[in-house]
Amino acid sequence: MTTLKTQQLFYNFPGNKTGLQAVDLQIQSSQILAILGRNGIGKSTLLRLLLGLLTPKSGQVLVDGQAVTNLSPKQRATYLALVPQMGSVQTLPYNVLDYLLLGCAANMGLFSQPRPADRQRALALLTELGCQALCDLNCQQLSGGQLQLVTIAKALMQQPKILLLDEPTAALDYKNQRQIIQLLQRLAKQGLGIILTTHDPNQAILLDDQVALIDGSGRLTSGQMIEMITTDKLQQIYETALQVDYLPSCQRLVCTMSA
Amino acid sequence: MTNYRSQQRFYRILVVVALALLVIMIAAALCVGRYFLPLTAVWQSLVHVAQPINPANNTIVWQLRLPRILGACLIGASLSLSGGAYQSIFQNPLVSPDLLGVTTGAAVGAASAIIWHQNTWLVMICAFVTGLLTVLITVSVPRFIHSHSNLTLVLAGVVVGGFMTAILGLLKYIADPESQLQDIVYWQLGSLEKLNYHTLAMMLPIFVVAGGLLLALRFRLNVLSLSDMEAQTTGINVKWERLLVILCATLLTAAAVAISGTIGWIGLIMPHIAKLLTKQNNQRALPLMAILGAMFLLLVDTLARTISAGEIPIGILTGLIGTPFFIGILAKQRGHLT
Repeated sequence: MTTLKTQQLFYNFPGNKTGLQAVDLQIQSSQILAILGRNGIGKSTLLRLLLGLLTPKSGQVLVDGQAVTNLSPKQRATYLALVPQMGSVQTLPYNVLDYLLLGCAANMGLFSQPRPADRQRALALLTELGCQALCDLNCQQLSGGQLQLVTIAKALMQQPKILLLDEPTAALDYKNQRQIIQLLQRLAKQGLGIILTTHDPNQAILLDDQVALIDGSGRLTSGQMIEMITTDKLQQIYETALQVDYLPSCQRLVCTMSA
Repeated sequence: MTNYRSQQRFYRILVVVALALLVIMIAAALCVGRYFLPLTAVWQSLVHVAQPINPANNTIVWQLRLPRILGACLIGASLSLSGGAYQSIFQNPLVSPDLLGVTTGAAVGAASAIIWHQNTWLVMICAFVTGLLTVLITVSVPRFIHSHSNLTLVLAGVVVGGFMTAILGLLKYIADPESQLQDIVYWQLGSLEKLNYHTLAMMLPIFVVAGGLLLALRFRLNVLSLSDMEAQTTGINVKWERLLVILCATLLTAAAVAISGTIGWIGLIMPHIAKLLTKQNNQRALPLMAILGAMFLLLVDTLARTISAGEIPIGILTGLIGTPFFIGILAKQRGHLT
């Protein structure tokens, strides 16, 4: 069981613009935390803080009780893996299998090369994700949905305890969104902790686990989805008129913009 | 996966074929020159070292041609490897030791050492220090002006290279025209004429260690070609590993410049061909890059010493081949320049 938590995290954007304030959040294995907020409010920044890529102004991020900034990149990578919003995968000319192997770097020596066993593992992972047919394709030939799957697969090659995804469904169509959401739920059932950012409350509703909201002043509140996704709270976060209703035909809550 | 396996096999065959071609080229290069030696004579000289059948042939093969051929292979491989490493590290297919200004920077160091004190080691150390300094200045220009496009880095290399050329001009101006100036001009044009076993032996450890390190780091080069954030979360120490690669690549360039002067374009062209043949994967491209670099410089140097009675400086030949090639890469890259 791995726990990732933050204690009174403060961070100012460049130019001393107030960023995140007193962020307290906690997530452990098998949980999914969706971080919601407006564009530019600091969702991606929060992910970077969690990954130890940025140093907070004060407060700290703890992975199993150890400050993330005290861990070596190698140690960090065994706990946390990132699926970036615009991964470099699109610009990389590698084929999919070679791209996945990059995820092995954390478990390899400085001078070692991937072994056949690593290739087998990459292939098994692609099969598990239902995209074994992609393994010989060049990354530049992939569609948006395939790219997202391959990027997740590369992160999983790290065998992390907690997976962080930056807007994983932002550019995807409905079918691909559903595929990613179901994949994340399956991974969580297998024991992976998952943190993702999204600007769409419906994603959080579909994932139906923990939700954190970042408001205009950079403060974060979190709780169960059903407590957090309410018309009042979302209107406050997004500063626009919107409505959360239970839609019987969908058998779930739905968030829509009011006319 | 089956496709992947056949790719691996294709790559292995490619390396074997390239190595075989290199051996054939070395044999041919031992034969040709101002005085042509048939292959049998070359073989006799190579085999009968202690009791030469024809002492004159032995001198040509062992003292004149072999050191030069070995040097061409080592220098070509080094320049190609360092070019490939720079291209991966800076995620920029348009850079090479010469385009980043490293070769000119190293030549400044070499020229200063020549003026200061004639000593091959000192020339080497100065070439390395100024080469490294140049690459650091070039890399910090895009950071300083907050513009990270491929074109900015290339332009920074051109500007810093221009600055180094100016310093080199100044050094030439103050150099003693009787002795030092000639040496400096030799460095600037690039030539393998003065190569001998002594200088080769001095640089061999650097070629072996820095080149070996780069080859061993070839998978890391793949990881480093991810975005910084992604590479870091993949569990590698981006800063240190990038620095290690830059140090090795610069050391290779400086060692090459210290004994052969500034030879341009190899570090740009050969990595491209190697990557084209290996689907851009550094892990497979790097060994091929070294072999192709060796082949290319050996070919150019053999041409330089055979096509005319006098010797043509290598820089001229590589420039003639490299420029159209660079335009070709630019045309292919036009979408990714800004």
